[in-house]
Amino acid sequence: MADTFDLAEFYTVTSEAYDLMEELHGIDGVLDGLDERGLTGYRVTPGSSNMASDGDSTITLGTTHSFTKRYHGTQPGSGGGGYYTAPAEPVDMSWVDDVYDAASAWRVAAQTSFESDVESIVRLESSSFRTPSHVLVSTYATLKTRVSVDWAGLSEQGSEWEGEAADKFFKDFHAPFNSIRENHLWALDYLNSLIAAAKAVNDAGQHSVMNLVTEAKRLADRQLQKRQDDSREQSSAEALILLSTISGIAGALLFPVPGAAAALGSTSLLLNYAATQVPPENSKLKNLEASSAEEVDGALVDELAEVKTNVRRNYDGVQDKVAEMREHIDGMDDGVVTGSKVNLWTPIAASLGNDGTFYHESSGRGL
Amino acid sequence: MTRTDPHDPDYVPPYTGQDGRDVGSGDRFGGDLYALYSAGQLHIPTTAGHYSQAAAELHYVQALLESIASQLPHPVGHAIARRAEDVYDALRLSTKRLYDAGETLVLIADDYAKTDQEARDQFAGLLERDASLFDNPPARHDPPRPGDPPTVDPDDVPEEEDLDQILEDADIEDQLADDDAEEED
Repeated sequence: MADTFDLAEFYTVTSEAYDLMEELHGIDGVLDGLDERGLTGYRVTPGSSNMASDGDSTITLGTTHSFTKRYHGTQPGSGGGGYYTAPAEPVDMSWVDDVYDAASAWRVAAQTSFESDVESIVRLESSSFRTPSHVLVSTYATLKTRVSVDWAGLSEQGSEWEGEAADKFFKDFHAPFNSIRENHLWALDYLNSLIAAAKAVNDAGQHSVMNLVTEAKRLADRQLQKRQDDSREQSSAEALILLSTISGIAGALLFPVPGAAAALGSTSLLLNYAATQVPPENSKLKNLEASSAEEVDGALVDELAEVKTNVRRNYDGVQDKVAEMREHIDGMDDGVVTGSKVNLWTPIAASLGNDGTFYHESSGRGL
Repeated sequence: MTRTDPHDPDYVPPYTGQDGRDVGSGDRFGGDLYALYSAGQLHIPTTAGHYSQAAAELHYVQALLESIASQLPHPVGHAIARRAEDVYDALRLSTKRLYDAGETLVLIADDYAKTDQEARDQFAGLLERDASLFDNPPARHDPPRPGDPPTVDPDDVPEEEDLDQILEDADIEDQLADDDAEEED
């Protein structure tokens, strides 16, 4: 199973979302500008009770769901007086370019800020966790299968040897070694679980932000669609809040306890735990609500903050397990865990000095 | 025929008759010296070799995890890398102590064989009988030391599709898969 988060695709979708937000920002800016300048709505014209059609112009807004907006394209000419009426003058619409420039500038700032904020979540390619995990599986299998119980070929030889050095060698070095090897296997197993857990958190965080920008893009698109729908009524911009539901945001508890027995036997499952999407059991629904480009961006930033908080909490949980592993190793060192006086984490240096404390039962000394 | 190199398959320790140490005697003593020698020359170095390989692999894993940790937005990556270092240290130290123990056993067996003619004859006879076993005794391969560059070839890392076979060969049960199967039942 492959890890499905694609960084290039993430940035593409993010850029597309901000394209739509910029478009929305520009449209709303123009609609607001028309309203502010009294260029929309009914115009009271002497001698007429209807909305004037003479002198009206249209402006096409948007590209995704473009629509045409009617506005009063002329204003009474200046300088008239008495019986003279100055000819109507076209309305100066140069401000529209300024609105679009402002939308573009806003977009650059907002997208740059978001991408900077999200970088820590998306930068690590999750598949990089696989190599160390695969090595650990290989190491585990080597120690488990190639180091036999009778690893020194001395399982039936120790009893003939006597003396202090013999005790140290056979009781303190040779006999504990199988337990030491078991503890090494345990450590490899636990370590692999920690790697898989960290990978799952990384995966879930990345899928969460991908879900986030995908939904933000959808929300911006729906707002643009709404602008188009509203234009049919020729109303001014009445941006209603739209709601969009994000289905996959990493929850607070992401991963089962790492280091469970036989976790190595489930390496593929563990590595693929969150490879393709936030696991449903660790996912929660979130709503994005927004009526404008700024609000879409604001919701995106707020939800990103929550994703980062959840990711951090999940890493905190993994770190607790890392600390437990160290405590367990310390216990093997001093015998707390095992109840043994012998170090069961690393073998002692075998002391077999030729000092007369190592001899065979066939000598006359043991009698 | 007496060779002075204890690693030579034809090596037979000299009996000088001048050694007054009372460390054992007779053919049972000689047989047990042979067991020590075999352990030190063959079995323990073989185990140490596997441990050396394991230590080298953990050294590599630690380097990989340090690289990952530098990109993670949380100190847990470095903490995991330190646990990999703990395991590497344990495997490296185990390797050294295994090799050292093996070398000591060889020296002890050689040294003690000088003390008793009957034991020496038994020891030499067993060595001659099993000479082929000692043709190519495992050489000492110390794992990389801390700070050394990794020695594992990335091309030798098993792919995911190889893992199932490795686990099956090692008789490691797929615990989660078994759990899933039980739930489906």
